[in-house]
Amino acid sequence: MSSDINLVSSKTHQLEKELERLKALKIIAVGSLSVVALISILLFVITITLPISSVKKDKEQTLSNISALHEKLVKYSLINNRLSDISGIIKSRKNYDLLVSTVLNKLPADLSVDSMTIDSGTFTLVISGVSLTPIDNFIEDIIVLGNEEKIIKNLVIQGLLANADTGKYTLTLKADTL
Amino acid sequence: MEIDIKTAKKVNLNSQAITTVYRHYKDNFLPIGIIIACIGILFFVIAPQFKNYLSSKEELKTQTQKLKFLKNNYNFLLSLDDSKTDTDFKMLSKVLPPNKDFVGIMSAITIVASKTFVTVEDFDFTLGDLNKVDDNSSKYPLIKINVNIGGSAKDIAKFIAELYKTVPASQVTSIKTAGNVSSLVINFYYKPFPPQNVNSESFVVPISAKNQSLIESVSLWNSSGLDAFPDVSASVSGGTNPSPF
Repeated sequence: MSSDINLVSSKTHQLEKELERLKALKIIAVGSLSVVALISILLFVITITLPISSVKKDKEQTLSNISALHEKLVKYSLINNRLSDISGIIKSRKNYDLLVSTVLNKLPADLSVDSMTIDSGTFTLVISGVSLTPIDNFIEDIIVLGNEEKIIKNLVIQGLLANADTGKYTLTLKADTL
Repeated sequence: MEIDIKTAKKVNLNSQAITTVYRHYKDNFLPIGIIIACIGILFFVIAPQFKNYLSSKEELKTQTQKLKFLKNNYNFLLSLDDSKTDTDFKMLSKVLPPNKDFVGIMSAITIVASKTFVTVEDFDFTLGDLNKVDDNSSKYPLIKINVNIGGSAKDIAKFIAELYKTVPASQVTSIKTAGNVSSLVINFYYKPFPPQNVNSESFVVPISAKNQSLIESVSLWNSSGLDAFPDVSASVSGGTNPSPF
């Protein structure tokens, strides 16, 4: 008796394959439907749970609270504004008092100031005395001051005059202020 | 007639053939249709919804940040000491007046002269229209004053040092000393209050430590008295209210 007899026809085999394919298609279809439904529901839920409206409401409430303090806000903003302006003015102004007092502190007692001019960044000083020694000392001190370039710079001795009638020496100095 | 679609080489697409194909595959149509519809829904409905969700999330983040910022502003404003704010504002408005404060200028010169023991000989200044800001090329509007002061050069240095610690804010731009008389050119600054369109949503900048020390330093400046501020302003501005509120 032959054992090689094929009882399953090729048609039946093909039908089974088609049924399997159909089953797979149905599973994929149901799966897709479930996935789409699940994503839709999830998306809907997480979108509606975003608390945008409550945050906006809270923001409006806070804004209205701030509006009640508007005068305070304006005053505070003006204070900041004024501080910035005052700081700018203080920073930009020339400390001529420091220049004058520093230069005059170097002036020996036996010399006197004839005239002093500070204008448009230029400092001119005319001093006089009966002896050349204090004038020399003063020049040395003022040169150091000019070299430091903290208060004055570009120091120039414009002239040293001797007046035979009065017996006085007059020194004229010029420098740029810093 | 039955057509084996697997083996058929040539098929005539007549209605009978279509019917046969339909019968053969009709069970497949529904799942394939569902799969195609799902893909369509995924691309045309869910994808835009997801995009919308992302933008909503982004908006929520922005709104939350704004809320946090506004709450900080609100709490900061609440924590401010009303009386200190008021005093600081008045004091700073005296240091840099909102208008041509000629009373303040006169007081400053008088106070400084008496403190430094110099004599004010004569002075002249032009105020112009009291309600109009002078069109100066400088950043801050100013009133220029020529004043002759009796005193030595050292006294003038003291006068300037004291003037720089006196309200309103000023700057000496020129000194001409001859003998015991000095001619000074002094700029007294003022600045009108800027328009008050402060937005409630704008950031409230806390006063920096540097500016806090500036407040403390200018509060020690010579002044004719803080209470004089409203009267001075009223008299200078010809009755107009200098208050920005």
